[in-house]
Amino acid sequence: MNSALIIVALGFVAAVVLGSFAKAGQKMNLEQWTVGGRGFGTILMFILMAGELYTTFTFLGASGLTYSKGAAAYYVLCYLPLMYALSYWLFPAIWAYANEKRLVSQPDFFVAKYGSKLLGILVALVGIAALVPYLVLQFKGLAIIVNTTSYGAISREWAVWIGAVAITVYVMISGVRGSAWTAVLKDVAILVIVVFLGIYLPLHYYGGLGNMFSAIEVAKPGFFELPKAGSNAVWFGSTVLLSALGGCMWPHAFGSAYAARDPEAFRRNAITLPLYQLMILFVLMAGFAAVLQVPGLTGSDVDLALFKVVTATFDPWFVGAIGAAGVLTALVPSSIFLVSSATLLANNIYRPLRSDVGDAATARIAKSCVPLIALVCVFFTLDGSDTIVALLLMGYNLVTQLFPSFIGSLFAKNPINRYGAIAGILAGIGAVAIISLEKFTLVQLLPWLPASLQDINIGFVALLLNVATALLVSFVVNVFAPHCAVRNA
Amino acid sequence: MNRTSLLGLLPLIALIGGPFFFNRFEPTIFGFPCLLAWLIFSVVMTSVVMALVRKLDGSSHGN
Repeated sequence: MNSALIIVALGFVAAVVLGSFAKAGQKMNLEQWTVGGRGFGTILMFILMAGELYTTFTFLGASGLTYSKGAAAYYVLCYLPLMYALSYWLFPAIWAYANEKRLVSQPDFFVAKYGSKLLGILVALVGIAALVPYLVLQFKGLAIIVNTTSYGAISREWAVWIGAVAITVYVMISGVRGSAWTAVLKDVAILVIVVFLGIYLPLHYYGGLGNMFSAIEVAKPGFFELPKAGSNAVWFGSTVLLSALGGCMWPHAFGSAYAARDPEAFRRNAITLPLYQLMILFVLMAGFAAVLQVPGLTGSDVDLALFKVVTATFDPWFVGAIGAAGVLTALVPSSIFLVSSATLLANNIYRPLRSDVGDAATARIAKSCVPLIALVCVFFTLDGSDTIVALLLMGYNLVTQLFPSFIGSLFAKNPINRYGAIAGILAGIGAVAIISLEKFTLVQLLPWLPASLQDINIGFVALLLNVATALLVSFVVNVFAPHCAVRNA
Repeated sequence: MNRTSLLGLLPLIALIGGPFFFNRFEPTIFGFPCLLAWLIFSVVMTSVVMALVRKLDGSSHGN
């Protein structure tokens, strides 16, 4: 046992304890458990929104990407501000409709707007499918932290299991309200740590940011520019756009649009949260500091960059403190994702397929789904070798497919009907699945595409296919079978 | 959604168009590589634009 590991363990314990206290005095029913009884004020909403979007991805994934690809990592800084700008209009619209119809989850929105139970089930499936890689990357990050802060004493495999059990216990005890308080702790801790690392590491190794940038530019010329091919400007733009559109479509993000007392909170957040994203700069700086200090990491090991440079620079106890903050960055979002996916499974897939399942029974089923989902994710984590960034983009490729039918539903004359919505989503998901599983590249599929467009993000291409299919199918149904498209209100 | 919403296109253009025009290291701004400096500016600009949008929305509704 070293001091680093002890501190990390204390971090775990603090989170679980906080999580269990938050529950005291609240009777847990389905609504309480998932959207906190609709009573969150602006500051708590801010914390919750910022918190769930700051995850292991931002901490380890972004630094790992910075370490391996340099300028490509700037995309992490760019997509969330755009998403927040979009949320200014989208979230109040979601909130108003959800409040009026007493909606509890994301699929409810689609079911109400399109009058299709099947669409609701599909949306739930997409949500769960997208959350799995997002969860897997948290588990992966947790394993990295436990493994490196134990200085190798705990193997990565054990670390994954330990983390999964801790997360599961935490979620079973507290649901969303627990997350809010531990999220505050996590946000404060990670803010302090990340600001410190982003300032100290460049100062310590180079004497300043300017020196660091120059040193890297000399050692690796072009590191701060996007390359001509691969992660170039076309990739960058399409990935930022895909992520900005998809950001609101995550089940938990969509659900957070239900949870405010007042929709003005969303508009205020759209102004302040983009600035909060500048914090990511500190993570990028830490990643840059690692480039020349711990060279040689390749493949998915780039995700170790931050912790390698941290263990090379600091005493064990401080490594442990950083590890504890990192643990919270994995624990808090994981709990939100597990609650979301468990609720989707119980409330939006199981419940519609069986009649007569009450709220209390659904809540119980949701709770029992948590360990199941965690177990599935553990197997994917143990089995996989993708970088954290690749995993997140996998999730985005899937969840963004919900955007076309969502945005259509906001218009009075929606060009997409429920058949188009279902067809479009299936087309998009199908494209993503086939391309990912067969490892096709855009060049193979669309050889006529000009060279300058070959690096468009695959998920973005699937999105375009989605839109085209949705519009086409809707049009065909409207023309040939208009009675089918009529909604039963 | 109204005309002030069009202001929302500014951050989009700046963030997505930026890499097509500023994809270089020099000139460094406060030591930061050119592209990064541009993107940082664009992020701050996003916040400012949204504040402006909110202000304009508020006055058009007579709040």
